Formats: sequence, structure tokens, C-alpha cells
Amino acid sequence: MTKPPPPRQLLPLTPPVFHILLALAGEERHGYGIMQDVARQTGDALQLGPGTLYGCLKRMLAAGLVEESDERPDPALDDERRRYYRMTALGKRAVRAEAQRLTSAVMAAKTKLAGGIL
Amino acid sequence: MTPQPVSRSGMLGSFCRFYSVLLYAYPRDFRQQYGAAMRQVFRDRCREVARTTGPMAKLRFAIHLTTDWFATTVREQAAAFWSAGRKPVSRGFVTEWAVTLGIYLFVSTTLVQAYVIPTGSREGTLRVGDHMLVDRVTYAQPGPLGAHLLPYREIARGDIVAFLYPEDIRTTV
Repeated sequence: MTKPPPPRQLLPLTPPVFHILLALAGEERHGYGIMQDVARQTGDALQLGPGTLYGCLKRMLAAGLVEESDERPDPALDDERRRYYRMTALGKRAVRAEAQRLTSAVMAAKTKLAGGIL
Repeated sequence: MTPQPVSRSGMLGSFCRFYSVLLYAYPRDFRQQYGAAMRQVFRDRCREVARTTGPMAKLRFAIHLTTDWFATTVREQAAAFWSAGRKPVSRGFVTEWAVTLGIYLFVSTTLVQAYVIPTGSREGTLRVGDHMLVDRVTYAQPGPLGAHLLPYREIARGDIVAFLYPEDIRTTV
């Protein structure tokens, strides 16, 4: 089995990939659930279309950031044709590293703002 | 039941069928893997937008979907093209030859055509067995748009002109 790449090699994550990982941080979700959560996280600033969503999921599956889940939260309430996704350990490390990177960027911006440069 | 929900669900069905057709622009592998899930997400999102938003938001949604479709079809087609080395040879072979044949037919019927000189009637300038490419554009009838785009001009002294073989031989001089 090949060793997964260190998360730093995957940075910077694109905004859709970052927000999809955040949507999967708490629980497994299906495509539309991810789409709704990303809209909530960003105050509707980032609305993923079906092509963007599944294009990103395809690449994230290939990179090992997410995986498909066989379990259904409640089969009685759910359409069994839906595919659920969950975050892998690599995905968790990558989203942490990206959050850290963004925090550093925000800190740098705040310093410049406070100094009146911006 | 009021007529409104019926017409709305009818419209939703039409949109979904239209979106199913649009999915054919994606590469076949991508469509087979994610097409059904994309249709499902599209249907869910349409339902939500129809229920919760006004006409302007619906228009923005339609524009957003169109740009998403266009951008991601280009992206996935490019990704499929670059990873084509891993695909079976036969499919690539057929596509390659079909494209080559298509380009050849387009070029030879509209742009240039290859000829071999059959007789010595232009001896001194063109000899028997010479190969030449005949420009089919310059003397053609310019259309309203083509006149600005393509290099049309009148026949000038010194030009070598190839004639089409006449359908009625009696029209030859």
C-alpha cells in the first residue's frame, strides 16, 4: 500500500474542497447535504453546483481526503440510492493544516490593518 | 389538488429531463459514476429554490447552474483528455481517425484541394505530374460575414486558375 502524501503537499486547498471537508467534519453526508452545509457555513456566499460538487468529490476520493460510506444514518428516512461520504484521517489533517494556514494569513492581514498599511 | 403544484412538478420534471441531456456533455466515465447523484442533487436544489425564492433568485440560480455546467464540463473533459493514455486503445484509435477524416473532408471541400497536373497544356509553368494545392477560398463568393474574415479577392492577371470539370461538356470554350 502506498503511503499517503503529507497534508502540507495538498495545500492550499481550494475553497470548495475546504468547505466540503468542513461539512464532513461532524458527520457523514450525501451530496445535497454537503451542498446545504457549505451554503450555511459561508452565508450563501459559496453555492456549489452539481458539477463542482461531484468534480471536487471525485478528486478528493482520488487524493484520499474522503471516502464513500456504506452506512445509512436512517434507511427508513432516506433514499437508498444516495451516496454518503465521510472524511478520512488524511482529510482531517489536511483541513486542520489549511485552517492553520488561513489563520496565519488572517493574522498577517490584521497586523497590516492595525498598522494602517491597508 | 390545486393546479399550481401540478404545473410546478411538471416543470420540475422537464428541467430534470433537460439536465439529464446536459449531462451528456461530461465524459462518459464521469457521467456513469456521478450522473445519477448529480440529477438527484439538481432535483433537490430545484425543489428548494422553487419553494423558497422569488423570480430574481430563480434567474440567478439558472445562471449559476449554467456557468457551473459549462465550467465543469470543460474541466472534466480536459481531465479525461489528459488521462486518455490509460483508456483502451481501440476507442482512442477510432476517435483519432474519425477526427482526422472530419478535418480532411472539411479542408478538402472548403479550403484547399490537392491536384496532380494531368497534361502538358501549361508546359513551362506547370509540368505533367506536378503536385499542387488549389486555394478554394480566395475566388469564392464572399458572404456578408466571410467578406470581413477571409481573404477574398477578384481574379488578377498572372493567377493560375483551376476550373471544375463542367457538367455539360458543350459549355467549354
